[in-house]
Amino acid sequence: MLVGAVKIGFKKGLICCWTLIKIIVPVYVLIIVIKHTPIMGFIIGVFSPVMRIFYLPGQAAVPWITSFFLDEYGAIAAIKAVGLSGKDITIIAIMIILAHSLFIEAAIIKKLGLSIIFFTSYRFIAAVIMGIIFGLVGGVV
Amino acid sequence: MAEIILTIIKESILGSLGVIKSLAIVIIPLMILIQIMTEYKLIERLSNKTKFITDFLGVSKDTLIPLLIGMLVGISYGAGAIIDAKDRYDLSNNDIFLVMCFLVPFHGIIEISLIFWVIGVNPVIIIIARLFVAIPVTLFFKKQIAKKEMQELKA
Repeated sequence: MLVGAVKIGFKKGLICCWTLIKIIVPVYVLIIVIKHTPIMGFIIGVFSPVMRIFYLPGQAAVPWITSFFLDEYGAIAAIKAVGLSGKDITIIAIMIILAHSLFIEAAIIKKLGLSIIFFTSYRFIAAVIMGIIFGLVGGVV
Repeated sequence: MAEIILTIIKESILGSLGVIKSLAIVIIPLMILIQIMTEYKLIERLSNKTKFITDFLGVSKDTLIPLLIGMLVGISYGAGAIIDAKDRYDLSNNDIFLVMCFLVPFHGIIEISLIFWVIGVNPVIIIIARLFVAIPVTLFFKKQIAKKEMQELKA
């Protein structure tokens, strides 16, 4: 029974991996292409002034927008690169954690038969609202 | 230009291999574990005991494993477990919707909390902030779905 379970589990694992690889890898490659074009820099420029509503400096847009395209690791590299302070890191971290890897996770949402528009707006709105709340708290403290 | 294209190709291949590797080393052992736990009826016993949690979120007790995996390990792995659970049990679309409402703000808590802790963010603040989104939103849609079902029953 145990050997049988391991065999079936292994096979299911392979199938499951293949399903996920088919979704994730193409999007991943697309993101790498975007990374090397001026698209990201343009969006960062647009968002820089907006960061004020979270009581954050303009350069905080760099890790936030980076995390839309890449993942938390890319965002952390960006946080270090722009040099944010303790309170600012907490605010931007919460926003990044609520809305990151938007494209890869949208592909997963679609695979599950759910609405990409609904879930992407959900994450974006959640990040903005929590960013404002924690920005206010951090701004006062 | 040629240099950029070369970089893109190199990064794509190396990165994709990395993605495939990290998926495989997590998912294959997880699926073996789930299979063993299913055959020894461990999942059934566990999900019966934790029914109060799944009931609270308004989802079927069979979503326990996708919830746990998504919450602890990460959303792509959780989605894999949902796809797998869909075959094993009769998960409804509402179940999957509510599970994702919860997992989208609250996933991969171990890894994410740790990597942000390293750069000086208090993991407790992160977890509270994420639950503060995940629980109210899931409960809101649980109510909406219940309302809709009531109306359908009446009609």
